[in-house]
Amino acid sequence: MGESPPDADGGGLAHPDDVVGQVYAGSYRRLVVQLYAVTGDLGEAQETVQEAFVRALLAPHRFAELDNPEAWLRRVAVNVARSRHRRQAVLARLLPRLAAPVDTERLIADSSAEHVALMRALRQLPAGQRHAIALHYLADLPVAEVADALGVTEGTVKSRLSRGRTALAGLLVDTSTSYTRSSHA
Amino acid sequence: MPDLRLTTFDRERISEAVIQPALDRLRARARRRRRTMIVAAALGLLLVALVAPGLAATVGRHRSDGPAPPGPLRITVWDDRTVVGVDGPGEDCRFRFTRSDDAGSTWLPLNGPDTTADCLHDADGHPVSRAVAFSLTPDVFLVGVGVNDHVSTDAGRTWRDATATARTVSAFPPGAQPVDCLTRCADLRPPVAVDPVDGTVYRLADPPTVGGRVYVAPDGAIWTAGQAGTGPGTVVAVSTDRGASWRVTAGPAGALVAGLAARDARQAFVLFDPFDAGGTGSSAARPVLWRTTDGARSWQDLAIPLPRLDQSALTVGDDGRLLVGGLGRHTVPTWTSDDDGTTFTAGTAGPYGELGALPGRLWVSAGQPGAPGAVTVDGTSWQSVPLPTE
Repeated sequence: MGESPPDADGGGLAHPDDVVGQVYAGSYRRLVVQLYAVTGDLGEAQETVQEAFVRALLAPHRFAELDNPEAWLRRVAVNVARSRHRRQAVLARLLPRLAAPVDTERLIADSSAEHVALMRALRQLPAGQRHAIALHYLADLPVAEVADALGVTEGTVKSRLSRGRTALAGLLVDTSTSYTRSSHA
Repeated sequence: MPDLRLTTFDRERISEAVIQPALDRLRARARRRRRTMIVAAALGLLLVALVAPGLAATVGRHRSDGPAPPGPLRITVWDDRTVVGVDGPGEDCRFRFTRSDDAGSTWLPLNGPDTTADCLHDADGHPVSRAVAFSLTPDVFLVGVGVNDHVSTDAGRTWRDATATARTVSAFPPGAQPVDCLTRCADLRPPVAVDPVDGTVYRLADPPTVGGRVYVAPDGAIWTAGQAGTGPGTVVAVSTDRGASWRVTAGPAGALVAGLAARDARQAFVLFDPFDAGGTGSSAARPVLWRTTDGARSWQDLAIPLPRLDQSALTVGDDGRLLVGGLGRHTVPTWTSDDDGTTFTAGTAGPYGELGALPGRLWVSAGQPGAPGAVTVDGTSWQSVPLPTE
């Protein structure tokens, strides 16, 4: 819907650059955590979120008018992450010796075995299911905001969550089984 | 999925590991990017100046205002014969409308507004702007792209920018029509209403829900159900004075609003999905149906025998029975109740597609491209709605 109409705000307006600064202070870490859930790579998550803020700074007046700037940043960051992943995958196919492996992980330091298992299991899901699971179950976003971030309907998100949850449960059981077996070996 | 696994994703700990550079570093990147864009634009203009004569004819041939190739069309079924379809958004955030006055036998292409100026793209050319379109009546359409809204009150013949004239009000004016967001609530952020005569968009100053579903009962009572704010909780609210005041009730914990229907200011039904924002949704959980008969003062939790569904919709059918539909794996199963939700009977399943509902009917559309839509008023029989093929 439209933003605040002319008669809605009696107070003064912040400078657009200040608006970006305020959102940067309040939302940056939360967005990186959400993108870490999506990408499974902390460095990648930070770069995509920073890229989203750079784009906000390129058009600060438009950004300042957004109804929900954090949702806009999340959508841009998710799109950037998708594009980078696609480019990396193409590069890996064309120049396998030069490109970094697509599934290279840069998880947070001191990751527990269960955390590593969870992130690896997520990587095995189709992208759509992985993104929906990550944003809803790990990043704790409501379905409506997941739909907004991924540019799909809430019904599609629910469908992906349902299928992804089933697949992930199987993968985590497999991981747990193989871990138990290897620990007994 | 074992909940224990999800606790291994410790958001606090991950947040502590995040390195947040000074914003000035990003500002410097933005400045460099802007300079690069200016240089690239100048080079582009130079190139265009050199080859423009050859390009002009080609560009002219493709700049058509005709309808876009048909994609999965979302329809709104207004009555037995009148159906409005919307296709989009395209890569330029544009929507195309189409309307049938003979239940889908013939379709008239209608224009959408030119929203290309509001459409932001990422570096790879993918649109990132909010883009949403609604048919509010058979003649009144609302399109929102980016921060701007456009309204047509003559079925797409003319469009006006509704952003500048939008009004924040304490209550909706008598003529303004509240909008149900259907499956696009995150983009519309209702409750809002549109004056069907002059196209003015009204937004409530202090709404009880953010992005909630809206149902206007036959007696004019406005019901809304959805998120109370940025938190995970839901609320249900009713107003008998056009939104000036509301009676508000908290919804069940860990649920999302899937459907809302009302007979009047006293009797209403809310269907909740079992998903929760805390991430502990159980695959065994089922939809929950609430009923009130005293204007939201008290609610009954009806033990309905419905399975878990991906997407569900609720309405009061033409015959007065409650009608529920939901997305199954390959079809849209339905259930009806002639005792206000106390018992339900399985109806006939419709074709798979996106669900929509208005008072009196439930429909599916946007299935596979080329597949027809379908509408039911009783949950028993489905009428096929042919969609445009060109």
